[in-house]
Amino acid sequence: MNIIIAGDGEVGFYLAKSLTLLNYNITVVHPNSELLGRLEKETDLLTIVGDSTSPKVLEEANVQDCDLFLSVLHDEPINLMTCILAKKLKAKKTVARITNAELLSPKHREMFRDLGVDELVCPERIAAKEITNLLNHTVATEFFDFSGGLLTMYLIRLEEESPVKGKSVKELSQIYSTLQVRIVAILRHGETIIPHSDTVFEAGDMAYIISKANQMDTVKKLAGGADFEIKNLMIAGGGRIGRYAALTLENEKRITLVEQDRKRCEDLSALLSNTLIINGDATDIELLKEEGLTNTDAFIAVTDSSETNVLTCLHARRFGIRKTIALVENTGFINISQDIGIDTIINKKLITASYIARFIVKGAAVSSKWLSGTNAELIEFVVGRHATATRVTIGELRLPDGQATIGGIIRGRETLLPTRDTQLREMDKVIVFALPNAMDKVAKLFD
Amino acid sequence: MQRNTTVGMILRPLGVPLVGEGIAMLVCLWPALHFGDGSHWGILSAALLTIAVGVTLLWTLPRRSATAGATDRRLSYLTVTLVWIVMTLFGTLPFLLVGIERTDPAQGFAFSNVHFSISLADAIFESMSGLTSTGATAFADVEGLSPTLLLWRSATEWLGGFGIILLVLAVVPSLGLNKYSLYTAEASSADNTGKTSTSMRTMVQQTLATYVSLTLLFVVLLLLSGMTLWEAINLTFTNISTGGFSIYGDSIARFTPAQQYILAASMFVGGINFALLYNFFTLRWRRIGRKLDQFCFFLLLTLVATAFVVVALHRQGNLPFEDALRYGIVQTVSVITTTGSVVADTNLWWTPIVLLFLFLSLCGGMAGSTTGGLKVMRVLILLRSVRNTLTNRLHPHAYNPVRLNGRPVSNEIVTNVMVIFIVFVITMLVGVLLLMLCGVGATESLGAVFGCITSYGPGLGACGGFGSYAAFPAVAKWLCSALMLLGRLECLTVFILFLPGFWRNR
Amino acid sequence: MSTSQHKQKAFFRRPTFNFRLAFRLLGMLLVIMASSMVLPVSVSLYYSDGSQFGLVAAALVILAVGLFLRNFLGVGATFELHEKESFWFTAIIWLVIPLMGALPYLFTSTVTSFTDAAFESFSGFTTTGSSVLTGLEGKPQGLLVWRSVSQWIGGMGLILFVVAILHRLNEGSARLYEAEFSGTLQRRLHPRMARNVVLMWAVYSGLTLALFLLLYFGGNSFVDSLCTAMSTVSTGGFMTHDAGLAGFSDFSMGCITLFMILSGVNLAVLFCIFTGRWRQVRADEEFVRYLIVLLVAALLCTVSFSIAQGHLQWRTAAFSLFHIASTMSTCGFYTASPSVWPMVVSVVTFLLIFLGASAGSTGGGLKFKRIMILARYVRNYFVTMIHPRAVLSVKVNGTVISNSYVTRIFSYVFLYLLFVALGAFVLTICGYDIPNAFCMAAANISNLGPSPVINNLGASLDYVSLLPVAKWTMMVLMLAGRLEIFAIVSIVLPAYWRPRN
Repeated sequence: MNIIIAGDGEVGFYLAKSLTLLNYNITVVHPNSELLGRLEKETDLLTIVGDSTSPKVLEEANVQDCDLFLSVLHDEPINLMTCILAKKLKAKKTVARITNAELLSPKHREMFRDLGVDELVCPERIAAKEITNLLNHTVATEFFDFSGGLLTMYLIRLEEESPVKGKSVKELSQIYSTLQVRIVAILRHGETIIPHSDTVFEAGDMAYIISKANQMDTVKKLAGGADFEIKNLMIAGGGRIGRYAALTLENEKRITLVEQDRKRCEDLSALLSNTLIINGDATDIELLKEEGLTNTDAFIAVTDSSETNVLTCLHARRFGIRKTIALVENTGFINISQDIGIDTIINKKLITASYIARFIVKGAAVSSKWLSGTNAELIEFVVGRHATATRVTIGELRLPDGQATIGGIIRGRETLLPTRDTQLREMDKVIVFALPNAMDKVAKLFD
Repeated sequence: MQRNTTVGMILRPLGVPLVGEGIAMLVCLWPALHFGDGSHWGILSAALLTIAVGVTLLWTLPRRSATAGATDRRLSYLTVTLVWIVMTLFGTLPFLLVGIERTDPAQGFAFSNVHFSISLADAIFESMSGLTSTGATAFADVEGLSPTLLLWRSATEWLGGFGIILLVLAVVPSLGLNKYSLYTAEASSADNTGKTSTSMRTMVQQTLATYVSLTLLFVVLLLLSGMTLWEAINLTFTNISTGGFSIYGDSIARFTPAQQYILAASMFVGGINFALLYNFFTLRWRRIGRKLDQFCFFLLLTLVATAFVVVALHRQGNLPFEDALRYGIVQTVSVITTTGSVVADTNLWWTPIVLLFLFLSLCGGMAGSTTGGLKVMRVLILLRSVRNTLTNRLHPHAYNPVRLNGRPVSNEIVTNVMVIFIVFVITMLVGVLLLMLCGVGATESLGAVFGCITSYGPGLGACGGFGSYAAFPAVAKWLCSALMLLGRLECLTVFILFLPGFWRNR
Repeated sequence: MSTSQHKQKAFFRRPTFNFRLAFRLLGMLLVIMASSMVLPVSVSLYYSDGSQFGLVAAALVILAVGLFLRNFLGVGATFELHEKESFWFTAIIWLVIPLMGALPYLFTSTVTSFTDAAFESFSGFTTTGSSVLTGLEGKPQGLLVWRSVSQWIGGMGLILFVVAILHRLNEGSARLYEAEFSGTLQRRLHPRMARNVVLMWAVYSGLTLALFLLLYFGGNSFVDSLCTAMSTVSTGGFMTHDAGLAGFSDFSMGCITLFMILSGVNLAVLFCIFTGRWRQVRADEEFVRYLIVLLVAALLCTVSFSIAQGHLQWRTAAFSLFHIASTMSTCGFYTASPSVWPMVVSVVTFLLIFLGASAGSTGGGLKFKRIMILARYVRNYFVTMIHPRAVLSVKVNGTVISNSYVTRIFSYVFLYLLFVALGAFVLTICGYDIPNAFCMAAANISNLGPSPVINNLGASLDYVSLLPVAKWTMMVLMLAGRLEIFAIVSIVLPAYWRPRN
């Protein structure tokens, strides 16, 4: 698959590197030759120095053979322009990164599709949505809905009180048949483990769970932790993510938003009607305490500085705030951050990449989620008519052992959790947890 | 409130004020013993009870450590209002206990045989009136009161005049609450002429010193002019605190012209910013410098109003010039400093004068003095702000901030002035209408509201002039007491307690 | 000329006042006023009520003066208006027109003094409705029509006449509009000012015509219907009978009540109602709250009347609604009132007099929107008392009201109250007692006029026996209320006169 990326720094280059790992043909277009030079040295891809809105540059990048064109610069108008041009120049699919969430309404999307921009992705909006989800499902560190919520993936931490602690998969399989959830993978000390029959769960493990709808309670019990309702919320940072989050949540929860820039505060107060906007520095703990930090249920740090976000979350943690979410842009920090006690890290790059990944999954994949903290992916496949999977049961399917596992099956409006005897049928949607090198083999099984 | 705010933290600050109040009650033992009217048991028990409660609070409740967490502004607001209310409640004790009588004098003292000769509504009214240095009285026959109570009334005014909070700050430096937030809660109007020194504590001590010395000065002056010690003390207490109670039914009408002028002087002094007075009397005139905008306006207003009143009294009222002059000066000063001492029956005066008095009392004296009302500083800022708005319509791009003493006034202060004005007006409107609903006549309602909320005291009609609020229904008296509290605390501090967001555990 | 010489010239140059334009505008307005007298004159001729000569004479005088001003003194006027001038223009026009409008009263000998004539005329043009005329049934029909016509014209605003007709004013028209409607956040119906005004007139006239037809075909006399319709839509309140609206049928009262409520609503919202833009109507916060307050107040009155009377009748409810609508829209109509008048009703009514109608309507008072804005401002302040670092904004209908605007609104409220105080002061000098003085001053600056409640508050509504000084003071108050004060006060300021161009 040929992919062209017009991007800079963060999202663009991250995408480039990640997609290269998946053996796609990547071309990166960017005006800055120095940056591109470094990228080319580190990664196996083609770079073109130039302005993405120039047809000449696009043609040089072979836009006419391009399967997917991603324009993920920081500048919304340029992204849109680039995609329009690319589409006209025969790129098969275009995706533009935008900053104005207003454009995401169906009416506007249709309009842009007509113009040639096939998909719009707004990382800030997605991040805000993730925050919303996390706040509604407090026990989970990560969260993803498949097929509109029929099956849900949770990432939870197994606490000391967890009932599965110290038990192996075999022991649990007795209970499994009655449970509506499956643990598909474990993150332990930075390692991704797909549990086989003898794997024993330990406290401190981060577990990926696939569950049927409305199984929050079960998930909670498994985690051993308690779920709690979030009523009071403090958001540090009035940038786009903070703004969208406040806009979505302000009618359900009591939000205090701390922002340092006075002018931004005024704009926010014009936009938001139910949020208390405080003009101050989020690192000023006295200020936060005055504004009720100790009464807060959740703290969300989404300022422009990752360091500030991490620090303030740590402070919040010390005051006993049980849910902390931080925006951290440096992907390298993500693991450490979780170890030191921040509940969830949000990373715009991962979010964008994740979202975009659904456009490039091979074969019969419908959606996919890139997981933080691990290289593995969670992919939803549709079983094809003559797929290998329809002919044998799951037990006989011969998934690459320890590298992939089936998390759940959606059949029509029903959901099934796989056992060894489950038989897949055509048009079933299968959720597979797979490490990168197993991806191809898995895809073939369902094709 | 923060999660760890306990009832103890709310109640402990009440300790010291209560003890102070109790001590003041003890002082009132003197006339009881001197005049021997049998009221000594009453006042003694009141004093002991108050002191006991105060001491209990101080002993049993833990002192909040100075490093305990962030300042809690809400706690400050609650404390200020609570202190005033609690002080008022305990201030009713002398009235109630001294006024205990046997229902059947033939029998002995027993629970079944006593009743209070002074109703609770009256006691609350009088106590609040004293502590807020309003000076409205619920007693039709003031002179029939026991001298103990007379002195107690005067004492409450003297105490209230200073602001009990400030007294507490001088005597007990550390409350565990941030002192500044408490002060800003009590005196929400910032005044640039105020700060004579950077330390809050020093400032408070200086103010107290000024207050006490001036009191002594005027007692001496009054003695020299022929008053008895009893009269001198009572009248000075009530006039320097711009309160307005009197030990006589006709207020200050029966005193000699010289005495009335001295009283007027004490009222006027009471209306001046105490920091300014301190600097003036200690000859630190350079500190005052040119910060005299407010004082000049105050003076000007007084002079102009006095001139009008004097001329009006002379012409319309057909008074001989000396009388007109004296009445004019003394009464106008009494009104603008919201004292409430009455030199002649103002009900009989020409109506425009009475109306003018209503507005003058709303204006009040200088910020940082013992007067009530809006305070001249606010009126000045208001007028300048409005004028600026008008000129801005003509020159929309001109940079024209409101200035006081030559320097621009901050936005927060202008906002504060505007908001307080609005809240005052609304409170007054609603107050008038509620009073009328209680059955009080239109004129009396209007007068009562102005009198109570500006802490002037006398109203119009039956409650004006030499009259009293005795004829008001009990509900109306409670309402007036509430108005007095609102006026003294500048409405906002009290109203904020009613905001749902105030109590939410944010 | 060198630069320094230029500077010198600039320093000495005084702002020239566009006299010619002023004369021209005045002249035009007088001509229009004279032509509007066609209606009263025709009525007068039709009924032969004895006032024909007076009215015609007055009309001719006005026409003559108008033509003189326009075509002689105002010839060659340049159509440029500066900021300062617009205020002056408004003030001059609002002084001269009502004064000239007093002529019909004088010429027909219905009043005895010039003061009275001026009073009635001012009361008309400012849509107040206080009257010094007694024995209305005996007065000439034509004159009664003129009274109501003056209210009708005044209701819409004399300035708007000018703006609608004078296309050439351009920026000047915006300035005049601003001077007339200062500070009410009136939303324009159309980008171009002239069109905007024409639309407003359309709504206004439409309403008047509708009410007139309803009343006429509901059985009232031509003159009654005409006068009442005009007085209602302009929220003025002149009535054609001494007993007020007492003799009118229930149907008529119902219509009048409905139209009173409508007249108190922002013209832009009315426009939306009539063009079916319901979503915009629902979204208008002021409109919604205005209705709510109206209904709640009417309910409160009904309840208290019922308690006082001991029984509940639909008539009581109808009366309550009528009374509240009349007060809120500052019409000032009255009719036969129930025998027992509870204090609660007086209380509620007095508060509503200050509240007034919606901004951008023909009503008076402080205007609902202003109160809403100030209320939100105060609420925000309370929040900042607890959270000093919070940033809050005052929003109405989703738009942010800037701090400077709020300050302007506040200054307006302050001046309004100051005027009430000063008016009351003058009245006390004339011998009235304090409650009377306040009520009368408040009723006039709110352009309410008479109202039965004031009787119960201890004040009387006898304008006839006021001293001349008091009458002139009331006229100033009426004008101040109508022009929303700024226009008048601005001129008085010294800053106005400084030669700064």
